[in-house]
Amino acid sequence: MTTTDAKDDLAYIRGVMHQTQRFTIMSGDHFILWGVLIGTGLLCNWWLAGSTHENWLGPVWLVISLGGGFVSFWLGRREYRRAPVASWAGRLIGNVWLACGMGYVLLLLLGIAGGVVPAYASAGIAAAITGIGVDLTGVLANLGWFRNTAWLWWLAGAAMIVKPGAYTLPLFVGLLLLLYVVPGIILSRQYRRSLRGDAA
Amino acid sequence: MSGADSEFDHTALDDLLHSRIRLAVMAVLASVEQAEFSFLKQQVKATDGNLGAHLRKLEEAGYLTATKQFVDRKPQTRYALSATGYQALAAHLRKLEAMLTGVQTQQQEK
Repeated sequence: MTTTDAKDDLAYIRGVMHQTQRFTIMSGDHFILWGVLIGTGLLCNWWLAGSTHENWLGPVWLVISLGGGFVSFWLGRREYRRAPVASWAGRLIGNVWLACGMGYVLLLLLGIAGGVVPAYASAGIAAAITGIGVDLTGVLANLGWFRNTAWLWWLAGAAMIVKPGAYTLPLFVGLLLLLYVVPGIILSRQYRRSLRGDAA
Repeated sequence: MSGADSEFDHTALDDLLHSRIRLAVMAVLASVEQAEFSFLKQQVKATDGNLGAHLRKLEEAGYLTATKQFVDRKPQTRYALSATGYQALAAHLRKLEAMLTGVQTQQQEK
């Protein structure tokens, strides 16, 4: 072996490792699931708030949180088994959303229930946390377009915190549909195409 | 052979990692938790038979572990680097770097 061979070997190993570390294969199913579930929960808020059935809101959010968590866990297990590679970036993305989920639960469920967080600020706070999750996911999954949507979450979050009002709820549902469910569908299609290509 | 392309003692290096394909497999597996056969094939650009033979050698040396499972009724083999494999790759890299540093120092002294 010559020094040139050794240099080539080292450069080759570093190149392969760098390229593989960046590799992620992400299904958008979680985005579709949570986008639809949270959107439905917020619509229930809108319909039930102030009505005689307002006390149903607690059980509705309990079912959404527990049901969503259960289905999300099942989807994660299925993806882990099917994906051709289990990368560190993929694991980090899972952890980012777990951390965001804890933020939602602490600030929005416990914070509002305990009276520490004002209910009118909930949409703005949720948008801010979602923006963090979207930004980090975009960086880790190397999806520039997805990362850029974080700015829209933060912009909307700022508007909803500075000027809270009745408009924040339908705006948040619209954002969920446009910036969560639609990217989820795009990512899901890409994921299935990549799995098919992989099997071929 | 030029001064910059001098030879050094290759016997100090891990024989198993002399092969580019095996080295690539180890580098790929060091960067992920685990990977399926088809992913490795794509990354190292090898044929099924060739890659299979190299993977067997690495598995026999205890450098990687293989897990067979059925996903959607299709057989799938997933590979992961073992602790021995990590150590072997790290030692190989250290030796390569040390050898290159040694050669550079020798050239500077001349």
